[in-house]
Amino acid sequence: MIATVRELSTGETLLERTFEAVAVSDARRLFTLALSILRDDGEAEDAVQETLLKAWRSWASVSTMERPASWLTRVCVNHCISRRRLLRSRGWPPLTLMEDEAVAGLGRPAADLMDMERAYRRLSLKQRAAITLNYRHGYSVEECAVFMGCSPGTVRTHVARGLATLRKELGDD
Amino acid sequence: MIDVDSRLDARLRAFYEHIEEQRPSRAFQGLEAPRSRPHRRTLNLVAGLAGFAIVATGIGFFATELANRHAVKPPASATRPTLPSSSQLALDLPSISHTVIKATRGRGSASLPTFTPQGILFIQSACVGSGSFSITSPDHRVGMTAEGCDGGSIGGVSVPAGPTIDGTALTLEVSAEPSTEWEIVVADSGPVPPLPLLGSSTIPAGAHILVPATTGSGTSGIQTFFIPAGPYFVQYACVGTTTIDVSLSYLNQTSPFTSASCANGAIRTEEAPKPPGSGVMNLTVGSPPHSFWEVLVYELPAAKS
Repeated sequence: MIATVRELSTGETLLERTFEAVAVSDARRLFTLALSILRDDGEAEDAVQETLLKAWRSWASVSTMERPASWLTRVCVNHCISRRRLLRSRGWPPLTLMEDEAVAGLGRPAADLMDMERAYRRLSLKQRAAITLNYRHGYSVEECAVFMGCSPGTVRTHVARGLATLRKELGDD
Repeated sequence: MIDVDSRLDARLRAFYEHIEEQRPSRAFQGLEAPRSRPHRRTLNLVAGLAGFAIVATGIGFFATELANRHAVKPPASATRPTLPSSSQLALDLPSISHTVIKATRGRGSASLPTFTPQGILFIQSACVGSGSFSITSPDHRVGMTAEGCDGGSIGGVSVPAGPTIDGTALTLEVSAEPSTEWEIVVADSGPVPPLPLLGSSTIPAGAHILVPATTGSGTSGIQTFFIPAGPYFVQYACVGTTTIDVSLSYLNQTSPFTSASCANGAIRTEEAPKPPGSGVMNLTVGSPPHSFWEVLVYELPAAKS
């Protein structure tokens, strides 16, 4: 009986350690990813916490995956897209509030970044996700398609149209 | 990785660097895995002693309970990745396709029944497990490999119609770890509607062809041509399931030119924008793997003033 209690205790600790080593240590990367898509700190934190909560609940299976980071990325991206869609349907956050926050948050020579921020907000969430994953994080189109739950062709379209919008908004075309 | 012109590349890089400098709130940074409560060990000990006492005094009941437990299966874990349903698997198959091997589930390596495909061959698969997963034919006419089975995601491959596939018996073999579960559905297009042959019969008299009729499938194809003096046009057609995207790039700046749905080979012609100056333009055609396209670019003589 005592041996059984010890085994359980050890196993539980190992599980927690592994979760911390894999999922929690990945939180910063997920936060940056979510922030790139949502452009809202609070919403990005919520997205990461939801992702980690799902990971914790599913850790028995997630921990056996070859690449748990891929699973975390997929859950996070999907949460970002669906969560934001819900908020948008309620008309939140107001654009003016977002603009104010953006300007206040800029700590470097701001003109270019403000232009870019404004142009970036013209993109759909899927366009933002596709560009962020493919351009910034270096995932292949096929990997992006898995993360976003669509076909590689759709990812290419999101990227091409997103970049075209950015060029147009920035007056680069 | 996408090709972005240097100006936009610099702005995007600065923008993402700015995002990456932003830090989550202090409360968020302290995030950690849920911990056991400090008194839990004591509680376990008390519970263990109580349990021991109960077991010692009620061994008969314990034996009965144990016998009952043998008859009850442990509940399946709700969080373990599962294979998608058959209907999900078939969802990405083009509407023009006909199933030749119904959704089949298996584990480890196996051979699928021999069949004779007609036209384009479509294979959709999903797997759950470790190690690589591949679908091949012994004669190497078909070959696809997935590096890993990540949570039951669906993968698809299409094999273009051709003499090596069309009307010839084919056997597919699955290679996977013994513990890997998989599901496969195979379909074909039936006889492929031939693409229209773009050429002199489909362009105006006197037009000069800049890019000869080029056919392709799935991923982008690129053709280069010199910017013509007169107005120029892109003529295209596709067969398949969804859309064709045509882009033109000049001086490393790519702009989507047109995106249209495939209407079983209907021919479309659109005048293309002409950049100022001279030089070389690149034509890129993109479509999903299950689409086949044909494209041609021609120029009309510049109007004489």
